[in-house]
Amino acid sequence: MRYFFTIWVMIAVLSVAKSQRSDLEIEFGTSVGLNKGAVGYCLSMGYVQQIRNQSRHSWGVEIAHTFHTSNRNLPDVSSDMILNLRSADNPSPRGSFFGWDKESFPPIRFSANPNRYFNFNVGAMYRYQLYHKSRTSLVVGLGLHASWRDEMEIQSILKPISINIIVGIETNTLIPVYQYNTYWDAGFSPQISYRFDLSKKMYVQTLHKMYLFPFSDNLIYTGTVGLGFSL
Amino acid sequence: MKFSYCIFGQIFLFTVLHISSFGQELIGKPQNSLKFSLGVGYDDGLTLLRTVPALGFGYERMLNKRFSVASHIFSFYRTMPDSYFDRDPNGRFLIDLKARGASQPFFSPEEEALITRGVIPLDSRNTVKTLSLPVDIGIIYYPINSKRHSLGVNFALCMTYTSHNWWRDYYSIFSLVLEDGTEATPLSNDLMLSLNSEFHSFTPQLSLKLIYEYKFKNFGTGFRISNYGYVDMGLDFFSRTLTIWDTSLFLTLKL
Repeated sequence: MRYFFTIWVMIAVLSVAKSQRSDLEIEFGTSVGLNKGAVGYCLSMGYVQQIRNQSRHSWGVEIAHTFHTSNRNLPDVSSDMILNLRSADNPSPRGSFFGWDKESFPPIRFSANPNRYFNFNVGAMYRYQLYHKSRTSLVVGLGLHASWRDEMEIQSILKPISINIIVGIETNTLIPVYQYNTYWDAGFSPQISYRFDLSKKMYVQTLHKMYLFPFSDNLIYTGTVGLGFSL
Repeated sequence: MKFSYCIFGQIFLFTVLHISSFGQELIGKPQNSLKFSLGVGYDDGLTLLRTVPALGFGYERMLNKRFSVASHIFSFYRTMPDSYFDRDPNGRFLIDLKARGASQPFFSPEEEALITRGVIPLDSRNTVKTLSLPVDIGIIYYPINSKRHSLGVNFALCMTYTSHNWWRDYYSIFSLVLEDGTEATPLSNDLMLSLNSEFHSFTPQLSLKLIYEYKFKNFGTGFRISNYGYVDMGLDFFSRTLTIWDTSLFLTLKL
């Protein structure tokens, strides 16, 4: 029933908004987790429509992936950071280990970027066209987002002289301790874009957003380049 | 996650409804087009992990009626709990001798001399985390390409960025002596030493896609089944990547 209602609202809105300009946008670019020191990419897709014909105001919905990695909290001993502890069934991420044994693999090496932050953002946005001249325009906006966040962050690295575990005593081993988080978050995103019309049907734009998530104290900047299509 | 699919449904249906007028003139595939896709990704063996919708977009240029060149980027992220911890969805205690209340995980010798070490619980849910980001370029052959329908096979070379963490094993700890002389003997049966298989890599691979498209005047919509990495082109370190599958709906816009 809920989805039927959603589709009914969509069709109702569409029926009164058919004459207004609507755009489909795809964006790809850099994303930075400012408070985590993490860098990655952003891939997003959005639908934007004018509120009234010839209006400067528009609204839209968007869906986006952002992924960051960082090496924050890693001690500066990367060349030595080898985890010697391993067993025959944990040497490689591949699904099958036929013919492989413990000696077939090098020690598992720490990646230079062990912290991973993934955001899946869905949300709505409002935009206002500040400036338009000839083929260029400047647009500002504000978005509201729900964000599914999945994070892995190194909390500490233990440097034991020796460790006695079930398979024996190991030495010269570094032990990473990770924390894993999966949760829903909510936030908002002031944004600004500069666009250049390639034709009546298509434009190229650079879009800059600052995602603010007050509940988790996360701050993410995305700077993307994308194409927009008038439908 | 249903909410996110609902949002995508809005984008997709708004777009299709807005630019379609039923009964309009049908034409063949445009010379240049862009594809927007959203779908569900699978790991090898068609395992469906906890995943978010996979996003992708691409460009295609027709060479003639049967062949085109196409490029595509695809973002696929998934996570899951490790099977070792299925019986404890609230997470187990991991070993961590970080001081209680400390804000920094690494301490100077002076700080370490001052603090009292303790064991704190860390969340251990969803320890398997993987991102695959293949970028490919290749040829699409269309054995069927009528005004309304086209069915194509895409052979492509791709470079896949993979970021992967898999908690592959754990050990119970009997005793531990840290470099500063701290001894922890015994800790607890609930304390585990985790072993991660963890890497980032760029891997050259082959990609194979089966594409069906239904065409309107200025756009098309269709369905795609893709495989990345069934055949990889690397050795040793470079072969450390994952085979993935994708089933996506896509929208094609004429340039």
